[in-house]
Amino acid sequence: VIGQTPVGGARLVQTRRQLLGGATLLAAGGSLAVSPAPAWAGSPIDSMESAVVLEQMMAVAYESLASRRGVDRASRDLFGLLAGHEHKQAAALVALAEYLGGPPPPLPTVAAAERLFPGLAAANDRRSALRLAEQLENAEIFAFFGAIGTLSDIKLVELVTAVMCSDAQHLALVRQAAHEDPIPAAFLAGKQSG
Amino acid sequence: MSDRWRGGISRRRILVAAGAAAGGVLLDGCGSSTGKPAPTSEVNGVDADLLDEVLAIEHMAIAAYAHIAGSLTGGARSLAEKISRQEAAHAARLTPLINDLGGRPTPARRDYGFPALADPDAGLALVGGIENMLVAAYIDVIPKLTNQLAKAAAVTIVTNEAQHLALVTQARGLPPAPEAIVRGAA
Repeated sequence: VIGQTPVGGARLVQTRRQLLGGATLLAAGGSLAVSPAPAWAGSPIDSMESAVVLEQMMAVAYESLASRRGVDRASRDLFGLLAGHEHKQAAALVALAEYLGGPPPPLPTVAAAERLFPGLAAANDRRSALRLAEQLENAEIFAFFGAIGTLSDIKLVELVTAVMCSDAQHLALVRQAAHEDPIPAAFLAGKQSG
Repeated sequence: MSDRWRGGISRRRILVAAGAAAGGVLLDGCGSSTGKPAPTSEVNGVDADLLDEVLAIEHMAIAAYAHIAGSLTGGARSLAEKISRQEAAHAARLTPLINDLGGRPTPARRDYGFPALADPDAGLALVGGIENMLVAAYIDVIPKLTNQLAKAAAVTIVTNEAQHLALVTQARGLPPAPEAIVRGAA
């Protein structure tokens, strides 16, 4: 148990699994797998916290990639930019969560991000780092896409959509850095990696 | 505040959540640039009108890219042509959705009164402004949509529009992703 949230006099006891389950990034067989929606179908506070944890994990992962010696300077700069964006997205979600009555979860460690994203520890060169970043962005968009249909609060839907738009831009820039077509399709819903 | 939040959990929301959780209603409604959209089986004039608002801007974007194409060369021209094709795919996706929802899709205008272009950057600035309008319009519309297919289509389109915005901005020599929260600009 890593968090207890007072909500309307009751206390929501949330396990780590529940928190991570919503936006759910699951480690499976050494690769990244994403399952949208399940925990998002729970209470809205769970959804907010799941989203915040996901953004924080992404930020920590990008900060780690930005510090890898084997990764070229341009890619490290890109990862630094993306880390900053993920932090800001987490902060925006935290602000909305606090407005809605939930507490911010603690910032995760690099070790926690490496457990969640199995490819992170081994991404020590440009190619593998960009490939992982592409998987992360696709997974994040996919997770939010699976969740957005369950949300009805206008502010939350607007914010999640705006975050997805930023992540879509990240994906284009990461693909461009990897010398791939940055916009291969006219419709973007992210995708599950595995 | 939590009461306010809880107050937002309506019966409709629970039903929507239940439907979405069973394998992803949104995913089923995910747009395809090639496939015929599934019928919505629902007349929804409000959603039709909302989608028609963004369709009108999509038409304007297609016309704008055609307008600027002649002023561009090399990579910028290739980018504009590719984006124009994707905008056309968006319009092709929205039009039958609006019909299915009982609306009447707004046709493209013959003339949008675009200005003469002094240089390539003026053209990129024009379409950049329209991409900003598109992102803002979709973000305004998406929370109001109640039909899940309509919402799915809109979400999968606005993410692509945000990518267009980044690449057009980059083509102008500006930072492509200056914002962490991308809301566009009306």
